[in-house]
Amino acid sequence: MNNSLFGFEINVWLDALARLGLIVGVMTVVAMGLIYGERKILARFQQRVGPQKTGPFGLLQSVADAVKLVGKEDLRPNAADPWTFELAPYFVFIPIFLGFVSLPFLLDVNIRLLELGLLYFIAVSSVNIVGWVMAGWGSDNRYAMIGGMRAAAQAISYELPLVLSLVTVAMLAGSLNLKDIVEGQANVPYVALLPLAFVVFFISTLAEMNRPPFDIPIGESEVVGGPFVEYSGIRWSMFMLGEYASLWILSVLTAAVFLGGYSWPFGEDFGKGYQLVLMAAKSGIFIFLVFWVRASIPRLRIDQLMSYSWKILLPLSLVQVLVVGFVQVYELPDAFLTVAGVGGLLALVSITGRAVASSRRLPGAARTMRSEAV
Amino acid sequence: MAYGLGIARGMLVTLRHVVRPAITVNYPEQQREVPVRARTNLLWFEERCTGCSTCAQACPDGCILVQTSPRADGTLNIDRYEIDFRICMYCGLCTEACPYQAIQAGGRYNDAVYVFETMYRDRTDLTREAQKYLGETGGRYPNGQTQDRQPLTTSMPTARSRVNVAGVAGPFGPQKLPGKLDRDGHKH
Repeated sequence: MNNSLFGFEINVWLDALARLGLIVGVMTVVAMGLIYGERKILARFQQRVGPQKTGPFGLLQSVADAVKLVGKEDLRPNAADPWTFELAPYFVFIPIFLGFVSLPFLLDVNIRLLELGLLYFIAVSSVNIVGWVMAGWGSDNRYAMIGGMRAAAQAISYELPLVLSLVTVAMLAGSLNLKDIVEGQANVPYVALLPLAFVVFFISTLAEMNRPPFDIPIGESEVVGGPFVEYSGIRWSMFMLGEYASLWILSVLTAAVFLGGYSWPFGEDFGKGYQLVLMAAKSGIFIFLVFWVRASIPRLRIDQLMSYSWKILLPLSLVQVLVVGFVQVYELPDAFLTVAGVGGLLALVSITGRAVASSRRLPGAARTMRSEAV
Repeated sequence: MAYGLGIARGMLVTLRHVVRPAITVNYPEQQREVPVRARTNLLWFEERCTGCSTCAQACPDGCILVQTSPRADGTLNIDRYEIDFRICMYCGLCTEACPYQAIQAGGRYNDAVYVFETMYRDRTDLTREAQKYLGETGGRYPNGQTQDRQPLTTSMPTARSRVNVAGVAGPFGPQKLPGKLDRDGHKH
């Protein structure tokens, strides 16, 4: 049995091996580039210079970091659960690795386009939370344990708004194939039709990636690195690699699902060069937004985090699903969707503002304890 | 305030930083200019010192050692003048106490050494530091006076200042205390 890879006919197994190698290579290089980019851009946000001594403009800083991390001793605490501790990085890394498979980078440039690509992506990308909990549990460290539990709570909470906002896209496109979804945006990207879904998706991806302001599982000032606290060397670098690789694949997914991918605004007839520039620009915007939010917004508290997902994002995305269904069943014009989306966006901002402005109500037990203390 | 405006404003602030030049410098290669009245290392100017030991008495740590012997004309000969920078806390009280401003703050600030004992500086070391400073500034003391002309001005304005503050541009600008003598000793 033969498959074609870049026009060459090769054996299926060789083909699979080549594609896996391609993923690993590209992912490593991109993650290193992203780490460099984040450090440089974050430095600019803070009016610093960033890395500049290692190679021209500090470009080799990530390479130096990688060499340092690989050279470090791989420590395991005596009390740690050996299997759980040592397998956890793979459980974080491999789902992200799998998520690459169905991503439409350019027209017909991908690892393997699946018919249910979006469903596959959602299913696979949420598995890595198992790795987080394993790392937290296996480290036999209280901070790691708390961090792992927080990561689990956060992932479960934010998975729902994330999936529901992607469901609206799938409803509009009438397909779960990412190629069809990109094709459906040839004239108008879904972000124009579903602004609320896009914002909910963006916020949820921040939480999924454990990026600030949702970085409470790894909050340095609270749980000193959370599940990673006992890891060092190559295992720790696998966590880091996974983190930045997931940033990249989510940026590509956002570009494909909401921002029109490679087809909007020039259509799919243009060459690969144009498509590459388009995809780079679109995913670059997403990545820049993530960095920008990190530089600007302080970390949420755990109760704020949970209530924001369950009380605000989830109901609004449910309403969004209803509205999209309504528009599709009664065949209303698309402008209705945009208007509803902008209205929902205003509602989101307003409700968030109200939640922030209202003073925090303590739970009953805590209130009695406080009054007794006073 | 409208909801969400605070976050929007905060994000605009960070965005504005992107186009601004960096406020950090590459320290060993680039160095910031030291403010004129920075309370850096002490400089002792032998040619201004009369050996009165006021600095040693003002020092809370007792890190200044002055040993003198009387000359035939009644002035004092300085036999030893040593500062133990291991226990100096750079409070600058000696500079305020000195009537002749023979000891002034304004030397170098990168004072890290490999051997701790070398921070004990005797007369030779102090004079070498002072001469190096004067060589770099072209014979200008930290308080703005020059070696050839020494009018009554002080580098550090305090409640006890009886004379003008040196009119050099610094973080506090040229200062004049009311009712005091000006640079040339005239009342104004």
